[in-house]
Amino acid sequence: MAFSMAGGGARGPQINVTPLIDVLLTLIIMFMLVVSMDPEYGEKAQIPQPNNTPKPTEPGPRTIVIQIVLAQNGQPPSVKINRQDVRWEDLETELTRIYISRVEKIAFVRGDADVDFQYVADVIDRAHHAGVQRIGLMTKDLAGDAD
Amino acid sequence: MGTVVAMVRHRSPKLFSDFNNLQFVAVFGSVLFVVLLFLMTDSPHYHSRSYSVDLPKTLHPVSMPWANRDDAMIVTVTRDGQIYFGVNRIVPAELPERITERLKDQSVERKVYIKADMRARWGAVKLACDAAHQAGILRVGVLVDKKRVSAF
Repeated sequence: MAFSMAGGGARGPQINVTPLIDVLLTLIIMFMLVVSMDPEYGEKAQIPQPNNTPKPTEPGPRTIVIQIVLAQNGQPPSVKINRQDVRWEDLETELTRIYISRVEKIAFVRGDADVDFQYVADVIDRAHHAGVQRIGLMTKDLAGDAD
Repeated sequence: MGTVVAMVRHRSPKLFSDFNNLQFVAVFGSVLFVVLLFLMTDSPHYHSRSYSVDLPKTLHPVSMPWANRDDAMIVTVTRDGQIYFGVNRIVPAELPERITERLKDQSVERKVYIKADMRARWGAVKLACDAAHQAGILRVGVLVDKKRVSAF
């Protein structure tokens, strides 16, 4: 009477992991597709041509310049339309009111150098939504426009 | 392929049986799981045409499918003001030359996509815009993320 301790008998129960692998593969394929089809979103803007006249001129009365001014003490920056203070929540309404009767729907955006870019993007977005079709990013300060 | 499997089975039945064992499948499953985790957590880095930043979030952006093209000119401004053209870090003075070089290819869109971090200073982004303008670019696309508005 002898018996073997080695294998050869019935094997113990095993978990069937094949469905798990299938699920993982499916998830990987789905994620790869989602990543590859992720669309880019953006805001359209333009960089205005510099004036060729020798002296920079003051913007005309019908030119709308939206200015973002850095605030002190870590507060969010303030926003102005042609040097007139506007609350952030009123910006879109005010721009809609200005541009509803205009044919040329053009605005310029300028900001203090230390303003976070989020606020600039926000202004561009609100202006577009208010009906402004072309937005110029003022990258160079006009001498006559400085506050 | 079938021949190879048949040969392996013929010469080493033990090896073939090991192929199906739990350990092998568990290792394979683990590798797949790690790949899945990598895709889930690191998916923004798959946009290898440009450096990855936290884009500003706005409510009404428009779709810019051309920014996904391989030849799109993407200028990235990081939070600390560093500027990348594609994936290459450059100084702002180099940017007009790089853009002009790319514009020699007539098929390239005459537009620069500004991909700036939401906390980047506007002054740094202005430098990139100025450089693009020096290269003759008038149209820019400011890349943003679409802000999701919670229903609650």
